[in-house]
Amino acid sequence: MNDKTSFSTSIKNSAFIKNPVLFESIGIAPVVAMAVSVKTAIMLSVISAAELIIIECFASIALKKVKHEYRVLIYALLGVLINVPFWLFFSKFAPNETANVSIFLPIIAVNSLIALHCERVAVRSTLKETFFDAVSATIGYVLIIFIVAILREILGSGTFYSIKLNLPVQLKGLLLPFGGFLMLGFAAAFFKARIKSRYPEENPEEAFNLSEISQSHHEDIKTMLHEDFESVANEPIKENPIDFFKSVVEKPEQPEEEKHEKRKKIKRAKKEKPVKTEKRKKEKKAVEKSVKATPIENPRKEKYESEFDDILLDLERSKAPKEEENIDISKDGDGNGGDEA
Amino acid sequence: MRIITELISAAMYAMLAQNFIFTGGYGASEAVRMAAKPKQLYPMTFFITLFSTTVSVICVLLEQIAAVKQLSILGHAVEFIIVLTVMYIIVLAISVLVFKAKDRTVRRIGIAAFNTLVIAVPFINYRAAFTIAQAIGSGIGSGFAFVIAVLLINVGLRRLDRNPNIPEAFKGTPAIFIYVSILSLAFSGFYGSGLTM
Repeated sequence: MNDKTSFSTSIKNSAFIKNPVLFESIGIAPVVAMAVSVKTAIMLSVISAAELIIIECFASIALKKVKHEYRVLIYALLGVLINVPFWLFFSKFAPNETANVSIFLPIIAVNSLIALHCERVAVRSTLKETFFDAVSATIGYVLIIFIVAILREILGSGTFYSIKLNLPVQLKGLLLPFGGFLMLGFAAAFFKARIKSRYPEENPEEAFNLSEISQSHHEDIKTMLHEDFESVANEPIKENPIDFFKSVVEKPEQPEEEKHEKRKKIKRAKKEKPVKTEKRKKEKKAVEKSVKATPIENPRKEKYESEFDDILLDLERSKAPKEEENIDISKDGDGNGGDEA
Repeated sequence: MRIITELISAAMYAMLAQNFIFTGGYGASEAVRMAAKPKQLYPMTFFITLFSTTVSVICVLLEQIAAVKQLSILGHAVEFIIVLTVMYIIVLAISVLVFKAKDRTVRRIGIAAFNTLVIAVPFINYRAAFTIAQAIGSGIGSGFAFVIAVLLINVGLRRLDRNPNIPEAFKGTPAIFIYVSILSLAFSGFYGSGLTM
């Protein structure tokens, strides 16, 4: 009973409320490009189902301790290995259809749906949970493949399973990827309306986060250059112009010619390393920004402030006896107009 | 001069005349998801271009071997995946060992390597019997096609997100798909047919 409940919940979530294609926009390419007839939909569904269930279960059993970068590789290779026997099988029974969609063999193998579900569920859950997720995601995926394929075949080719329907109009444009995207859009709207009416507390929109659409796409290239490749970004600056100056200061007795040469070297180094000086400027700016941004009090600043206060106090003290003297003088003179004088 | 012309024309073909994302649907998932989070666009594009170009060039070179040329479509599909796998391992090794790339970058490499756009490029080259220069052009062009697609979708997403007149049922992914379908239609109309294969 418990298993049944969890399975039905899994189907409800993975297949409908968070349908991978409609609400997460995963695995669109095979649907848009390949789902143009019922026959191709059957091929796509069978291969995708086999891939998803087998690879997800395999990932749950054997790939939990493998690093992410190698897991992605294994998913693709396993995808091809699973595809090949299915492809041979289909090419015997439906050679024309198989030849038409032959390009999609490797494309299905690298379907983002598999990698995403494996990473999101399989490597973090038990085999049972993984199996439930794989089956429910497959149901959701296959359902969309069939809806899109049937509509496109009827409206675009005027046939159903290659049987002519004698429709007065054929919208051949729907067989293009344009038709696939359009069908997906209307299917998503239909599913969303049904979900909202049946489960008002559920929000399928949450599956596709749009909160970051306004982020700048320029930002990350800087992070990639300065942070992602750590060794390059943190490479110590070998030739610091300040060091050159130091060496000059330490040896004041050098002959004039040597001094002249060193100055030339410094100039050359400055010309040759404009990038590094720019880097330093950027680092300096970043430090200044961080100092401004952080509310923590700067001890050096405090020190300078206290020193400044001391100097002010000293000045006031030094002024004070003079003023007293002046007052005394004015008192001695006319009694009250000393300040004005 | 002829080589440069071939390269540029193939790049323009992949990028504008027949944008692989809109007219073929390849890499559509990645493009839509990237448009929603455009911050990683350029690093991702860099890796996609790197993989699509190198894999397509290597595959065209391998076609010069008689045994490889005689392979069936199934054999070619396996060949493309193997070449991509090898390239992925090389790029991964260089990034991790030489550049000490962080986990975030390593993850990006995985997504950039194993996606439908990258694997479609050598297949299109094979079908169109492209030369090496054309293969380089289509590889680079597919990377630029990805950028164009992501930027176009991103602009649309921003406007759709701010638009209060969209019916409740169409808000979110339904509106995005319909917007992408219009773009796809525009590119298909520009080319004439739009069927990549």
